[in-house]
Amino acid sequence: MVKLFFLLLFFPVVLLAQTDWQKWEKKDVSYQRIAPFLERDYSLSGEDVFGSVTKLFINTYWVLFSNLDGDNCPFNPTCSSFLHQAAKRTNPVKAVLMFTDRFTRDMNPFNRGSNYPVHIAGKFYDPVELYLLEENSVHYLSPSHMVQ
Amino acid sequence: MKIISILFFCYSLSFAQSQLFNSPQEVKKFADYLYCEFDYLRAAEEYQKFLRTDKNDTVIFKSVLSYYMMDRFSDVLNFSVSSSRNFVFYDDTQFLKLISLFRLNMFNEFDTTAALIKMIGSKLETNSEKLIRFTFLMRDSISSKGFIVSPFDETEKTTIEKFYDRKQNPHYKSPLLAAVFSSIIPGSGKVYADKLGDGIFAFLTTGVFTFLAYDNFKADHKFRGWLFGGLAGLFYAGNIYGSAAAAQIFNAGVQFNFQNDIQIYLTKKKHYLPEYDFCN
Repeated sequence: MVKLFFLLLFFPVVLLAQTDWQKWEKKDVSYQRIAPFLERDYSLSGEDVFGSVTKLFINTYWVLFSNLDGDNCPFNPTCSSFLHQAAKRTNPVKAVLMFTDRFTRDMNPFNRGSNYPVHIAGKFYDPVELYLLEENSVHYLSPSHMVQ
Repeated sequence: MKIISILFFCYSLSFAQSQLFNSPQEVKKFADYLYCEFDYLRAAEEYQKFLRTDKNDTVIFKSVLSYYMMDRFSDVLNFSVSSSRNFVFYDDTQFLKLISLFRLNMFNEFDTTAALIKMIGSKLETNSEKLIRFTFLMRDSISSKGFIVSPFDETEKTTIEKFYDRKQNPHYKSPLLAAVFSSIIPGSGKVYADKLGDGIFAFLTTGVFTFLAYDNFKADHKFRGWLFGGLAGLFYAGNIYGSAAAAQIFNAGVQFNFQNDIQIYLTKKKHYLPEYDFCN
């Protein structure tokens, strides 16, 4: 009886005991900065003529300048992505006008915090939808809002 | 050994948790305790547990009130259905439902519930009338100032009148005017749309490219002249477009701030919900 009791006690202890198969040891820390902006879509599929030309121009800019220069655009989406999205959503003339306006705003380093809500990635959120000049396209977000 | 086993068995039976702990009355008692400790999530769950076996008007109301306290307005709507007309807290439950519909901007359903509250002659009819007036301020409907301020007492009337005036005369900026301003002086449309910094930088960008174009044409550098001239034109046109967009965004901001101020005011007033003291 006592033997049986200890035997019964032994099995749950073995089964439920905390396992520690992973060796505790020093690990090498990587100080490399994560660069999500490098995960870019370079494909030209699903683009019309203007979209393809714009995308080619943007791809060239990304490869030759932006990827080497780093994640420097203060906005989300970045100015190049803004142009690409504007080209997809509107006509060529409007897209170029929207881009030049964005580019001018990009040059102004003052009071950005009081003009734009902040994206969770730490960038100023400035989507294309706000600048389409269409009815009900403006979904206003307060600058104090954190965009997920 | 046998004796030990029998003794162990008897002790287990004696100390085992009694089923009474899960009786509806004990569940309600525990839920009330959680409610008074402001643990509304667990209180609501316990009240729901109670309501699975028993029906009690106060418990239905307290469960709905717990969800309301957590701003879970969809749950308020779901659980307020179980309240029936002969309950003491029926009027209060309907009023909670009304507030939730208001907070969820479900104005069609709000109108139906408000009409029901009026029809049954609820004790909270005045409070619901106040909320109705706020929906008029938030919707695109035109009503007279007298009608809007009528259910409010003297202490609130001035504030409501100010809201009404803001609704009737919003300080909107004309996108067309912003574009015209920018076409006359680059950047002035942005300044008009309350974007002073953007306006100054638009003026500088257009100005610098125009000067470069002029200077290069003067020096007989035709290619550079056309290049900078083209860029100046592009930034000039982009600024006119951007000024109109900035005015549109400004107007959306005015509307947002107006609705936000109403929500802040109503939150301060607790949406005219009476005080309930279930803990003393």
